[in-house]
Amino acid sequence: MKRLLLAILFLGLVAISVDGQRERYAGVDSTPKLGTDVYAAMKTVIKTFSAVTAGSVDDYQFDNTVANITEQTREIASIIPAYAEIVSAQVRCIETLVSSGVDVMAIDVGTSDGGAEILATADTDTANDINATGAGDGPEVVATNAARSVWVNATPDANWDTLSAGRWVVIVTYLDNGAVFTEESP
Amino acid sequence: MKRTIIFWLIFVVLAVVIAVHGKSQQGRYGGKSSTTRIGKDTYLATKTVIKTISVDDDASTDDFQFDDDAADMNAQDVDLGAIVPAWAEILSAQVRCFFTATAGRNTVSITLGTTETGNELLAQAENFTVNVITATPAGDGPEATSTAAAKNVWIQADPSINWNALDAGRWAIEVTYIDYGAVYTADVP
Repeated sequence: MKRLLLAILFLGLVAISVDGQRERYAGVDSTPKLGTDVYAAMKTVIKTFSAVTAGSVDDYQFDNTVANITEQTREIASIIPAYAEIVSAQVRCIETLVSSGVDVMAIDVGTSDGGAEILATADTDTANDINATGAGDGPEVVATNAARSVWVNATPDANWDTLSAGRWVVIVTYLDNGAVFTEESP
Repeated sequence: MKRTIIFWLIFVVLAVVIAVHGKSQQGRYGGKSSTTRIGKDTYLATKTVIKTISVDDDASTDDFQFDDDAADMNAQDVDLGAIVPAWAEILSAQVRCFFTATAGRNTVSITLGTTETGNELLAQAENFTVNVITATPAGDGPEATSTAAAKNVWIQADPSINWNALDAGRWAIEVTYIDYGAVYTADVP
């Protein structure tokens, strides 16, 4: 009986320990609770894009088989949850654009197809070029009660089918007010 | 017998050590810690505090209540307390109606400020239907600069009908701030 009680005590203490570890990297909960009524709700999402369709391992690809310079738009569907405010955004070229024509790519980011609500158009075509939130420009987009998609829109100076390289990351930071409400369950 | 006691003694001591270690890790990178340290001299210090308020002051389970016994339509201001710590910068605010204020064709307008009757955080806007929000406009952040003193947040509701004619209505108020004071405290310079 005594051994059983001690074993239960041991298991209980181990459980407490595991519980402590569980929250160590704040990885289990999508919105970590920091204290009574207080949460960490600022989140950053990252997606990758490639100018080359074939063989790409990125999240999204532009179509480099077409013989025109028409803007192509890609939707990151419902990436911003309902009630979230878009605080900041950044497009970063991680692989220089290579074209048999002109190595120029203009990119803008919006919350509508072809729109520039988040980041205005800027040439972003050399590794480490960034297009980012301007000073005094945050938050980028006010919160709404519906989830929102983010659109990444790219326009090359040379036909798409002249492009053989070019990769970007698109990073969007938002304040997840909806998740705080859900966690609190009032 | 002696060996058994020693065995279980070691067993329990070991278990306690494991448990204490686990709890000590809990606040290190998240969880119960008020400010999450994510590297040397680097912290996650952006925090969102949420409070709820109800029109019904009789059976409400919310954090705060307006007085729905008043036979007038005067604006009521409720102090949510010093929910923004000293040194913190208020980045953003949002008021979300999550239970429609039953007011017939009448309305309820909401304002949020850092002073009584003030609108330093959110300008007055009608907000009385479920899922309607009043939020920080684009390009309007931060909402309030940091000061050395903690700040109270005040919510004001202004109905277009007498309060005692309202029989429902609930809102969640979320205020997001950068807790510079906590970073300083956690770093213990």
